[in-house]
Amino acid sequence: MTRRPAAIATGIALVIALGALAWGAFAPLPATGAAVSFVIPPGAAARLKAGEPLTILPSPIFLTVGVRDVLVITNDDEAIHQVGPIILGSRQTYRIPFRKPGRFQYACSLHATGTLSLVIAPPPAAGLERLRWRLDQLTSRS
Amino acid sequence: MTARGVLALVVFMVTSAAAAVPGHAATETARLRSGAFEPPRPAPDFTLPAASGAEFRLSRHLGKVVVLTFGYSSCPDVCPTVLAELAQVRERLGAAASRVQVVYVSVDPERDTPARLRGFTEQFDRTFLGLTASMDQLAPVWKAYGVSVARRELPGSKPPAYLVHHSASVFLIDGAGRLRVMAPFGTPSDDVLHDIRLLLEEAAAVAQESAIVLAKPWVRRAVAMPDEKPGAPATAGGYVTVVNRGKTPDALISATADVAERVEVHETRSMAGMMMMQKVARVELAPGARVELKPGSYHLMLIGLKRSLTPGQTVTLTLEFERAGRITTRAEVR
Repeated sequence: MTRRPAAIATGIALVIALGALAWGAFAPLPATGAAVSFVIPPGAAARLKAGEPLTILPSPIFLTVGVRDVLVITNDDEAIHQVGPIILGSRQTYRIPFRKPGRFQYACSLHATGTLSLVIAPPPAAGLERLRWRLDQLTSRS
Repeated sequence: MTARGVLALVVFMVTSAAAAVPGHAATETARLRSGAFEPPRPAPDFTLPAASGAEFRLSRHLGKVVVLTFGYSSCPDVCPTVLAELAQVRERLGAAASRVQVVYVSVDPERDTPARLRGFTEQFDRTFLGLTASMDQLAPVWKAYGVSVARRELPGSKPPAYLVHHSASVFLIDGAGRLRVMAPFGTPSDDVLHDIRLLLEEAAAVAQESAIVLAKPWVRRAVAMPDEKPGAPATAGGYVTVVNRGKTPDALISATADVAERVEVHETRSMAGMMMMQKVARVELAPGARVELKPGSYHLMLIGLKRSLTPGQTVTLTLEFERAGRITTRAEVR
C-alpha cells in the first residue's frame, strides 16, 4: 500500500519536470525583450573636445530579438550629440525596439572607428536553444 | 503515463505558455515602434522650393503628420524601396492619408531638377512632394536631420556617373510640428504605419480639445463686374469672429475657401485719411482673446472666385491656426 503514493508522487514530479522543460523549450518569447541602455554623460562634449578618449557606446552593439532587443540612448549632456543618424538634444532619449534580425552600419563621429554597427541576432529557436537560453537567464539572475 | 498524467501535462503546458505571453503587450502597442524621441522637440524648420514651383515651409503643415525622407531620383535601389513602401503605407491609411504629407528632400542637387524629381516621386504617389534646391540650401537641412551625404564616383563609367550614399531614415513629424520618430532604413513598414496612425490619433485628440471657437461666419455677395470673367468675380470679403478659449496663445496663420483660388488675411487701415488694405501674415490670439474679422478691420479676402456668390448660398471656410490646426466652418453669403 505504501508503494502507490510514492509512485503517484514520482509521477507528479516527473510530469512537472517534463512540463517545465517543455515550457522552457517551446514557450513563446516575450513580445519585447529587455532594453540595452547607453547614457552620454554630462560633460561628454567638453571631454571629447579636450581630446579625452571616451567610450560611451561599444561597436558593434549586440542585440537579440525577443531577448535584448530595445536600444535606448540617453543624452545627459548639455550639448547636442549625434550618434550615427540620431541627433539627440540635451536630456533627450531615443528608444528603438528591433523585431527583426539584421545588421546596421552608420557613420558615427562618437566612435573611434567612425562607424557604429548594430548586430541584431535572431531569437533563440524553439527547442534546445531556447531551453539553454532560459537556463542562462535563470543562472545569470541568481 | 496514465491518461490523467498526460492530461495534467497538457494542461500545465498550456497554462504556462499562456503565462509566458507578456502582460505588457497592451502598453507596447500604445507606444511608438520605429525609433522614438522622448521628450519630443520641435522638428528643425526649413523652407525649400517645391518641385511644383511653390514654396514649401515645414512649419506650415501643422495639423498634418509629415513623413520626411531624403534621397535622389537616380538612386538605383534604396530610394525606390523607401518610396514604394511609403506609397503602400499611404494606401493602407485609406481616408486618413489626406492628413499625411510625404516630403522627399533631394541629396543630389546637381542632377535633381524640380521636373526630374517630380517625375520620380509621382511614379510612386502623386501626392508625394519632392524638394530640391541648390547645395547651399539643401546642406543645412541634411545637417539638421543628421543625414549624411557622400558622393561616390563609379569608376570606369562612361559617361562619368556617380552614386550618392545617404542615410535613408524616415522621419515622422507630428501635428504639433515635433520630431517624434527617426525610423532607420529597414524598419518594417508595418511599424511605420502603426506610428503614423498613432500620431494621427493624437492630432485628432488635440484638435478636439481645440480652444479656438469660430462664430458668426459670413461672406459678402459677389457678382462679376462687366470687366471681369462672367461668373467668376475677382474677390469677396469673408468675416468671422475668432475666440481663443484656451490658456495658451495661438495665431491665425492662413485660410482657404472652397469657392476661391486662395484666401488672404487682410487688414483695413486708415493711412492719412486713405483706406488701405494690407495683407497680414498672422493674427495673434492671446488666451481669452476675441478677434472679430469684420468690415473695416481684419477680414478674409477670397481671391479668384470660381463662381458668383449670391445671398442664401453657403461657402466652406477653413481657417488654419498655429496650434489648433485647421478648423472648418460654413459661412452664409449675404
